[in-house]
Amino acid sequence: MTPEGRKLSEPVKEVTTPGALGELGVLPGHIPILTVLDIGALTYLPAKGGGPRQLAVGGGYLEVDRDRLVVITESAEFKEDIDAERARKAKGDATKKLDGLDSGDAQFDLLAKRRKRAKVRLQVASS
Amino acid sequence: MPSLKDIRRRIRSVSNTRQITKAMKMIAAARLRKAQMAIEARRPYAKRIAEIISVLAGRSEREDHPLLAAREPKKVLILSLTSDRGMCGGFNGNICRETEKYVRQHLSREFGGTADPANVAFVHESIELAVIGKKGQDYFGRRPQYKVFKNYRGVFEKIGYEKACEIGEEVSSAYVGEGLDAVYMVYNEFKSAISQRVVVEKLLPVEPEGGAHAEEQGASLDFEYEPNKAGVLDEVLPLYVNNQIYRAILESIASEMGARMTAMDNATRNASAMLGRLTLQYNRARQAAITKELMEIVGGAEALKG
Repeated sequence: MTPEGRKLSEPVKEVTTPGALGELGVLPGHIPILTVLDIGALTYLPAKGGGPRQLAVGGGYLEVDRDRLVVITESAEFKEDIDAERARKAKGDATKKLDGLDSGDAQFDLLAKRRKRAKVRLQVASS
Repeated sequence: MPSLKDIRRRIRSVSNTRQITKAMKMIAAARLRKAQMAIEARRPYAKRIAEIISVLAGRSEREDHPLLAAREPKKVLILSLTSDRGMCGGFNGNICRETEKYVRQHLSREFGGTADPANVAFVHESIELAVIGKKGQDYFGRRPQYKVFKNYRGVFEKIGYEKACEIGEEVSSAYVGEGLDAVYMVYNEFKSAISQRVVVEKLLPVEPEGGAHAEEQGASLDFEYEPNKAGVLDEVLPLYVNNQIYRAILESIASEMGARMTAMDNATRNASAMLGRLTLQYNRARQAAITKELMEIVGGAEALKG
């Protein structure tokens, strides 16, 4: 679920998410858990068959309640939604600005986040 | 008395204008529908976020988080949402006026405002503006007495969450860095296609709604939290802030379109009324000219006969 609407709602067999404490795989029947998501790539296996699909997600959190899994995130994009050119540019910009800063700067975290987001987009786009 | 040709020219010009205002009204109506759809789409997400915050922030974590920390509001930021385009009645004027009014009333006397620290609960020592939309930027750009924190451009080119995110992150990081003590938003709230209301709303510090009620709810939500509740809250609060900004942007867009629809509808009606008057005038003038010509012919014939 994103602020721009429901991106995806379908039965899945397995989901691997970029958890804040490392990758987190969820299978049906998982205990109820609420966890923070990192910026990263989310992979799932559709129940109707076919290969795994990947989404670039921009942080947020994950709710697992018995047979339901809800991802609340600020952005979720499939490979075909991603504007690779823009992501490349964003990554370059953020990297350039980061070079001139040290980690104590107020802007540092913000820019690092932006860079990471762009990186993940590129990674998903080229998969 | 304008000549026939003048009136004809006038009629053409007014009817062209009417065509344009009519088209603008249609466009505004279409965009309004789009904005309303975006508002709808946002709702389930917003509900989730609000729920989880009221569950998590109902406890002791409240004081710990930097976005929840309330300080004496000395340095304040006002986020004003105007539009990029005009032709929408009092839409932008109302926002600018309300912003100015807020500054006047809440800025402490010794810092250039009118607020007396002895009379009101809180006064600000400095107010900065963050302006969204070209119209407001022009307005405050002409008034150097206002300090502008940042002008955001291109927010309305495409309805999207990304811009809200960017603004939210910047504002939040200024707040966390204690460069700001409070952030307010001034925007047009969408009530219906024909009515908007200017509201002033607090964005930061975040004030979670529903304390005791949320506690009860929290007990029934039996989740395992990873890494822990505070960690989840850390992640969710910025989402909440960004989402509030996104909501204000959407409301503002919907209001703008509503205001423009009304303004353009009025303009179209006025143009129609004017066309009616001009046509009447034109016909009268035409008849007068014909009568005059007839008289001349008859007069000429009489003269020949005589």
